[in-house]
Amino acid sequence: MKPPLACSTEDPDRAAADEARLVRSALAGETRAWGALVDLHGPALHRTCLRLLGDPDDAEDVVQEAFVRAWVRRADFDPARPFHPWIHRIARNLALNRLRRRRLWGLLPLSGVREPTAAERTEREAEDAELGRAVAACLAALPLPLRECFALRHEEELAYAAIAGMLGVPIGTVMSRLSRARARMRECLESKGVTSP
Amino acid sequence: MTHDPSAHVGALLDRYRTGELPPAERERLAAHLAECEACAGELAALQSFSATVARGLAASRSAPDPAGRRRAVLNRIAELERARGRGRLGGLPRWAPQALAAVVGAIAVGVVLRTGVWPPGGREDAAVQQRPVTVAEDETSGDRTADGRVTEERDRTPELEMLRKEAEQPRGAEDARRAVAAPAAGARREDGRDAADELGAAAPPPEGAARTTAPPGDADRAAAGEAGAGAPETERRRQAAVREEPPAEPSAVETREENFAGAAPAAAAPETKADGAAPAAQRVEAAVARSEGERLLSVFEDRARAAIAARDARAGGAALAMWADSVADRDDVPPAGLESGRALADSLEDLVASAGDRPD
Repeated sequence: MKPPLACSTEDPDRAAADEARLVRSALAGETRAWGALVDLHGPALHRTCLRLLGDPDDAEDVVQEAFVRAWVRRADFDPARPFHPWIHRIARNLALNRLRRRRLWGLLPLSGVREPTAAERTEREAEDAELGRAVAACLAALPLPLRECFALRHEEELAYAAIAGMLGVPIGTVMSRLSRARARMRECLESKGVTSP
Repeated sequence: MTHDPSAHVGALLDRYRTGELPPAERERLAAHLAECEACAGELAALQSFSATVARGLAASRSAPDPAGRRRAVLNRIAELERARGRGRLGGLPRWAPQALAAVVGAIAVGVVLRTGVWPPGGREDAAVQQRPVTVAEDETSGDRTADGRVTEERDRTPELEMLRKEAEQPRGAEDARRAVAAPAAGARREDGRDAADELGAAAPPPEGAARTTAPPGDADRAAAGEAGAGAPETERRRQAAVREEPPAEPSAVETREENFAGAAPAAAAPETKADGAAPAAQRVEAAVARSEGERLLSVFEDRARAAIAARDARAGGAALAMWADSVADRDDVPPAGLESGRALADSLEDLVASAGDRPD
């Protein structure tokens, strides 16, 4: 069911205006508007956190926690700025903390690879699932800064400047990380028998 | 960072691929691609690679139930708002009881230190009866002048700073005992006992005191619980927390951070249990000196600056974790403090990220 306060996704200007309206309502304490922001930004945050953490449940926990913390700190948010980088930063910090704790406790990072499901019956689905496992495994093997940049670029399709803004690094750093990440991904995928058509 | 031409060329082609380049730059590159076979081949390979990766990423995603997520978040927010509502007195902010307790405590301490009598105007023996005698008092009472006590009162903040710094350093039980035996700690305990006695049952223990009593390993969960106690997702979260944070053997970094929250009890407990002054010292520390959030912020700032100055990404990461877990979302930190803390956290992010840029 389409949420009653959903943003328009067809016209970027309209979507931005809708989002600004949602954010204003949410900042005023309207939880329904906050719910709409959860719907709007939650999926992208979950994808990014999944790539950082490698575990869908952990990623979901982080996303939910981020929205709760953001609600608590909503007075700090500057409504003149876009919402996504702000909530992304909160979720990212939570995810990085979780990673650090995981490392501190000696837990091995998860590969981010899920098992094939019964639904993947057709040949195409089976191929995609195999490709998905290979890509996820290679991505999970990248060092965190490279992995994060790569996911924001190739999964979220964010512009270089947006990635730089989100991560708080110079755009040259984004270029360098992406270049290295792509080289490693190519190498890893080839080692797994995946070749680009 | 050194300039990497291949990274620049790759980025140029990548941005061309997604239509990010400004029109003039795009046209120039298009003209070049029409003539340069190598660059055109590079672009084709990049497009093919990106398509393959995008397909793989799409196939490896999990899609949690969005309605469930929204419901979970809104339920936790509702719980939180209810809890905050309970924590307010007639619309006053949540820290109001602590501030009130601090003012009452400070006045009470001032009165007692200056007159040695409680209640004000009461008889000396009445004050003696009401104040339990402690080891600290035995060592110092009688010979100390009112001026001396006032001096200690003034010096309390630097002393607490020193204790906090000590508490940050991992140390054995012997060191902890020595820290407690130091005059600063003794003075602090005495102050704590006095003021807390005056606060008595009339003033509820501030939130900070409750936090300090949490055992190591519970600080994060306590912080999370503050944001959403009793939430529907709590059980799964708790299980995840148990998986991630075995409480038996806290790591050095986490122990240091959590010990800060419990710095006073960790150091003072062995010596003060006998006279029951440790909880009083904790309460007064939180109520009279500064809020728990301000103290945590202070420690965070010290660590962050030290990490930045030393370009120590590991220490920076630990400080960043402390910021996110224990400081950033507290509501007993003044806005200006949060602002400066956030700026430091941003710098730490850069520090940690730049460490990741170095060759692995």
